[in-house]
Amino acid sequence: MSKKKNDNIFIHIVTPFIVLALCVGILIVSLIKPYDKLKVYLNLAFMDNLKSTPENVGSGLVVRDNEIVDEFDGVTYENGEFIRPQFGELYAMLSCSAFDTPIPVYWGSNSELFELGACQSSGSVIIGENGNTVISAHEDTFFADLYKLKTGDTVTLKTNYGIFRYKVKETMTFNKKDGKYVAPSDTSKLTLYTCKRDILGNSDERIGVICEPSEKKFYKKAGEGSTK
Amino acid sequence: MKKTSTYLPSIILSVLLVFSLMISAAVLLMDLNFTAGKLKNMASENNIDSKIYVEIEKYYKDKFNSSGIPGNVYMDAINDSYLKNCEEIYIEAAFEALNGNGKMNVTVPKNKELENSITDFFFDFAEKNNYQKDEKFEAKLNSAKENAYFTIGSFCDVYKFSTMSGHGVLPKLAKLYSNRMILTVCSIAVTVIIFLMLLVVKRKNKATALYWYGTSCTVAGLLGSIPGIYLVATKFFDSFSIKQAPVFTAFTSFMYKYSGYFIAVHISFIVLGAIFFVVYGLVKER
Repeated sequence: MSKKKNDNIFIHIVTPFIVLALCVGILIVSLIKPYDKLKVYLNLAFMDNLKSTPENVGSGLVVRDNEIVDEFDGVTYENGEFIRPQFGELYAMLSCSAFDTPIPVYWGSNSELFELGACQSSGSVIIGENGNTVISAHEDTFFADLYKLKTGDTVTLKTNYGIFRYKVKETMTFNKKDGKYVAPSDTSKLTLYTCKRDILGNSDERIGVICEPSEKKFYKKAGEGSTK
Repeated sequence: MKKTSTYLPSIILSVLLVFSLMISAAVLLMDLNFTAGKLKNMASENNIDSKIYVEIEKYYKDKFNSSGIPGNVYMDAINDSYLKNCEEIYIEAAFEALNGNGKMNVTVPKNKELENSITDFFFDFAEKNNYQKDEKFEAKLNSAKENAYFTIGSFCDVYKFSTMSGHGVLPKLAKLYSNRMILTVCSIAVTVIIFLMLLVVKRKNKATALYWYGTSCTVAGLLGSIPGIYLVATKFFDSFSIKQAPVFTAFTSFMYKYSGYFIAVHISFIVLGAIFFVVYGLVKER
């Protein structure tokens, strides 16, 4: 009688856990497929780890001005480890013959960031990765001299994980609605663009350059962990 | 409890009850909270209109260097109440679309002051700079006016309904939203039926049904509240990648509010589950 009573108590205690385990299992199985489909969109919508802090005013933006390695005297590698930037983070310095001083490059586009430097669209690939790296800036400030870049000029991007050089392949003019220059690509390239001055117009035209990689130097081998 | 013949069906019904409770709560909450009125109130509470004003001001300040049109040409002619009106027109149009075929039809309200301000600036500019007032000038003037409405509209659409409509998301949501009443009634009906079925399965010892209700309510409460609490506690929605103050505020405030309601309902399920367990214990004692 006592054993039966004990069994009954045990079943009473265990049953909610069985139901919970079953429900969790069903939920996981049923969510795998939708999650696979939505993963890309979710990663795009919630792609950074930055959270609201008192320093950001309403927009959720936190600006991080990192020190970028200027001269690296260690061993470099052709393939290596990347440091993925977060939205609002200064992660590269851009220099070329057209600009007098190096231009800071921030990850993400936002009007506040455009005040601070050039911005890289977070829908494009980070510097050094295979694909299209798209960087833009205001035509009256940081990219005022972009039009001076000519085919064959060298563009250098210094990051905390490596130094990357590109050669200007072509110059271009396009309408802002024409997404083909800023779209992802299979080949490695760097796209720099800015607005085209259009007095009394709507500034729908863009000018810029497409560059192809000429040199990649990573500070750490792939798999060695990120360089800070 | 002991008999396998009633235990297995009870487990299955209990699992079904967990999901039906969660679905009913989600659908009911969506039905009650996802309305044009609630979104308008939320936008108003968060001063979205003044945030839009600041954002448009920044946009035109940036544009000045390439277009030569000073931001005040636009900004002096618009104010928070005009922007609030535009923002509400977008919300209303979106809900009309959601109640229909999902296609949004929206027109930004005309603003004579804005049009006059742009016209005055263009003519002043032409006078001062000997700019020829030809067809090209007229075309630029008309284009500036059209573009002003387009720009204001896109900034006022803080929930990005137009983008969703353009990408076919709104028509898909409209199929669900327009049938929300049926969905709500059906999910509640299914929940009640499962409650009754458990009672039928436990007809020989009806008090045991209370234990199963308690189990389902507690599990549903845990499954709904824990992920919700995690999202709110880790401020997950703050990692939203559109860092434009009005859009960011509109989206995050909606998500946090809805998560808050969702957590509250699921915590009440846990409390209800505990009550079922206590009543079951008391009945069993007798």
